[in-house]
Amino acid sequence: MKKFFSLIFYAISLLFYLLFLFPNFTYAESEEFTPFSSSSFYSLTRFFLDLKKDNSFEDLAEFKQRFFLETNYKPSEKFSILFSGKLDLNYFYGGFSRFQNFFDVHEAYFSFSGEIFSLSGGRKIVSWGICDGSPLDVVNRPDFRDGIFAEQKFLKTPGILLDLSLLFGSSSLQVVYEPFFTPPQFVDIKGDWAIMNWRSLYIAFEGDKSSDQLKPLLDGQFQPVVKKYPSLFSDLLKSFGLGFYFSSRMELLQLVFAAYTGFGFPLPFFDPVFSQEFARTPGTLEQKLDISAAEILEPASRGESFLKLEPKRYYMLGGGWSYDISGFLLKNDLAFFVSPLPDLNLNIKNFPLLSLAFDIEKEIIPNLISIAGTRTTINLSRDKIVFLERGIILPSISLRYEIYFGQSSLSLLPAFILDIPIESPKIRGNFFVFTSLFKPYDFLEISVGLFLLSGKRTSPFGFFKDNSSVLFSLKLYI
Amino acid sequence: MKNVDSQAIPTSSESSVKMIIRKGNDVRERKMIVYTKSDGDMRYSVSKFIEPADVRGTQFLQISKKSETLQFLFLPSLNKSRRIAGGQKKTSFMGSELTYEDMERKNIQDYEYKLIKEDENLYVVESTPKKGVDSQYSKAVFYVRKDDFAVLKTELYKGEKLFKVIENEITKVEGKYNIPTRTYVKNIENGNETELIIENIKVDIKVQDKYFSPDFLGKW
Repeated sequence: MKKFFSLIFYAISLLFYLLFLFPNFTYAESEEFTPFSSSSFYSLTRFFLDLKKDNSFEDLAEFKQRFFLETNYKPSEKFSILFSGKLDLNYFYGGFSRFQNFFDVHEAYFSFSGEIFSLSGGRKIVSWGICDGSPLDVVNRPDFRDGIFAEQKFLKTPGILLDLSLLFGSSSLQVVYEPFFTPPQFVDIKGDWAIMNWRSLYIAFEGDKSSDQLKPLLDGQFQPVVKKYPSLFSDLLKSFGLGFYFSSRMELLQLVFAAYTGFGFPLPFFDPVFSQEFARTPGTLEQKLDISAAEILEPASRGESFLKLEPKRYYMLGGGWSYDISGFLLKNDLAFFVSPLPDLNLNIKNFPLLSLAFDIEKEIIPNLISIAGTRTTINLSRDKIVFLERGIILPSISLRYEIYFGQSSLSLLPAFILDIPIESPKIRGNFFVFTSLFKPYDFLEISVGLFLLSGKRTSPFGFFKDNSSVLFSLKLYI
Repeated sequence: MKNVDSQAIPTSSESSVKMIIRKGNDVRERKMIVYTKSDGDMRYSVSKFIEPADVRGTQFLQISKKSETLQFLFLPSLNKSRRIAGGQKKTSFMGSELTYEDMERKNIQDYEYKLIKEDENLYVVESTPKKGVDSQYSKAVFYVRKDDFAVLKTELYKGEKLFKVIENEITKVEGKYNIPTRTYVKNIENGNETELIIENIKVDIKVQDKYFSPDFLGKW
């Protein structure tokens, strides 16, 4: 069945590609408006090497090949269609060597626009907020399949939605309606049941728990996951998402306001049986996280599900501003959430949170921009949240530097982020990421990256420190 | 220079523009669609790159009043428009010899002018930024055609050194508008060149306001 759908997707993408490459097949040129189409197709080859392999289940290296096609066609001034799709062919070497392949229609939507409005519908990504990584940017669920070092545009799962933008003067109002819940994407969790690596929540394997190959693993690091996603039909009225985004500009000041209610805050939710056993297990949280999930489940219901991907409704209200003063660009977004999250015993409760992003951008010399900022989340509840506890401050400094050698360009993008818990303000962990992108030709990009995470196992960066890696990638536009 | 600034310009336009970047023997081309609009003191222009594939979908919006210019860049890889701050104007525009400062509209009140030469056809005017005006250039020398106040050439200096030369080929469009249909930029320091060629232009047509909203970037 999967192959059948893959074939249909391939056929549709090929058809779109041909139609948009040769638009005159389908549309006559208008005198007032010249129809135009544009397409891009690239091949991206990435090789990741783990810098630290500390258990036998962890992968040592990943080889990822992606083919991506995007095409858009504008037959009239008012109407346009965009289609993009990707094919991923991944091989993981090490702990559990395996192939993982997926084909996605990434975005596919129409846009219809008049003098003061634009209406688009289909499978789409919407970006909100002034800062990069803004807390206001909540419309789409995350896509964990590519890991945390994915290309920016693939960090989110496109949702089926209607997007209406009204423009009036220097202001605009955007209304986004998602008729039903679009789940986040986890690696290969396609069926109702999957097994997941306890350490790296985003790595999961679809599988048959009684299979000879996977059965031994259930006694070790990998455990079942059950999805409790709303049904498309019976839960249609309760699983919708609705958001408003207002933006206005006055001279050098930009203001935005956002309100959103949606389903499925991007975190997994734990089964009560597991939560109870986790609470009963002796030791600190850090010690408990070093015990395999299977051991914690003993003697309760070993082999049963402990991790539920069960989305709940959450609410966000926020705003942001940016202002240009004396050559400094100040940017700030602030959001208030009420969100179901796990407490220290992994029991799910509604937690009020305040989350902010603040950046100061400045050009140091031509082509070198420095950005100093912080991402801060404050837990307004008396109870602590797992990992987040009372709150977290993530101050960061990053640079964007472009150097030209003739027509070739080299972009250097280092960033350093610290993790400081609010209740005891001392550095708990850090994340250093350095990517360099060399473009010798328009059609070729060569990239080398280094990702270093460190900190306590109970901290956000420390939890993922086994994922420190180096990256080599090659992007070829065809 | 007031006459230069108050030349007749189209109320709106749509054009196909080719950008040619020459560095040594290596030549690269970019193609874009450009919409412009003027409304009183306000000037709007938005460009969408359609070729080559690596920059396809990138959009650049400029909104200028007499006193200031706002610039926004939409990058498809981020699905987001970024404001180009006043302090980021020395950065190269898409790898060309033009910087964001070169693209913006100058407020003539911010500069002092001196007529340094005059012949039968041309005024040669030197402009220096007034105290407190942030510019990467110490002075600019404009070669202005006497007939119609079209700027044929601009020399940009850093200190006393000639840094960049911009030459315009002016075409009279619809018999009334002086449009620089070919702009040639030469960086004297590194010898690199950038050319902007308008291949096709329609003026005084209906161009919808939405194209000039930062919130509409990436949606067309």
